[in-house]
Amino acid sequence: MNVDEARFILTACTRADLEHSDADVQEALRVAGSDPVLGAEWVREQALDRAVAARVAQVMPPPDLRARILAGERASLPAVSRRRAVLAWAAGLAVAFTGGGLAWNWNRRTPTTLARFSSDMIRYVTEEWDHTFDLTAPVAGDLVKALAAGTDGMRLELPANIRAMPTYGCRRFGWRGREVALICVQPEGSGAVVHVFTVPSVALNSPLTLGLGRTGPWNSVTWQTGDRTYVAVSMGPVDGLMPTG
Amino acid sequence: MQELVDLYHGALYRFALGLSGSEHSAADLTQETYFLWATKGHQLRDVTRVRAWLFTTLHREFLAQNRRERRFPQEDLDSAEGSLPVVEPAMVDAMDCAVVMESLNRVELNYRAPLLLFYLEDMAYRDIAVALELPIGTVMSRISRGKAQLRVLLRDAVQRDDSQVIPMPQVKPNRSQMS
Repeated sequence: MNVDEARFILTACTRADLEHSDADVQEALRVAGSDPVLGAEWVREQALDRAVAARVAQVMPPPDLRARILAGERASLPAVSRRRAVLAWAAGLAVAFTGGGLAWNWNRRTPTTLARFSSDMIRYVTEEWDHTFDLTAPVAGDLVKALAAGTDGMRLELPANIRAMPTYGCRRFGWRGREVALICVQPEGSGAVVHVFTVPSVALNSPLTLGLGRTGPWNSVTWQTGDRTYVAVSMGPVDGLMPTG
Repeated sequence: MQELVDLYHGALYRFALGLSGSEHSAADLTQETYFLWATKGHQLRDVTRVRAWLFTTLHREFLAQNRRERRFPQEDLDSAEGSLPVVEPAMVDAMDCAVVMESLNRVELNYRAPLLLFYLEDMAYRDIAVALELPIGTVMSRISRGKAQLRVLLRDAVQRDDSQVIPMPQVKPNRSQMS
């Protein structure tokens, strides 16, 4: 092994490598021991590595993260046998597909952040969705009625101004084990379509930061009504969409 | 499960924070990783590879999100190689850990993951290769290049810090008061 090869190995050596060194590491250390320049370099390198590692080790996870992980695991895996869990998983898959919805990350039921929901919905619109609808109607209010009259009776509570808006249609799909409904509306006088997503509020970590937001070029407004959270996203203005009172 | 959380959630969070640069994303990634373990971990036949599995999964989840968001413009620091700045350990000791993490987060994405696992200190480079699903030689090379980038970034951080200090005017001793 020459000096350059030894340097290459020693640069990548972790503390674990030094504690349980293999033949390559031992040989690299031997070369460093017999080459004063490499030896000195190696001492400096180790000192700097220790300093950086010590700073990295100071980073502590949020105090509630451990509890959140364990709570999420309990919520997602009830105390049933593995076999029963697999059967339930398979049954859920069958229901999702026979229902006609798109199963999209459907089995991840752990509550997550509003920011994650918003970014996933924007990604759905821009990358995942084939831009077809399950239902169409002249105005959004008609879609709300049709959804409520369906076999599973999805009850949405849209503000009156949105219910009166012309709509392109409605699409339902799975997200982290919950069903999301998307209604696309065209506000009067605005060229930009507004995508209104709604998901059961239990899918999101609370408390939520409601109100206006922005993700890249997308404006968003978030509100909660009943047991559902609504997020409207658009390239155009959305500040008039939030329900008042 | 509880034992696995106790053993690794801190290291996974540090890894995720270094990758993503965001505390929220790091917590989400860590939580997501354990969720995937709860739902798919039973498929792992070799229990001695649980740690590698967790880091592999977190890294894959990060890459998947990164591909979706495409919001990580990288700075090309390669030109700095060959004339590496001297960064003394004492300079790092004097830094806040947030500054060091920020510098790590700015290392080019390909080099960042091996470098972070290197600084977590409890994996041999062969384990890092397994966790990141890369050949050993690639991992060693990326650690080496990642360290070179990090030195440049740490040097810049030190200089930024220095530039925020407003130098005091030189005060000359008043000779009339000296005996």
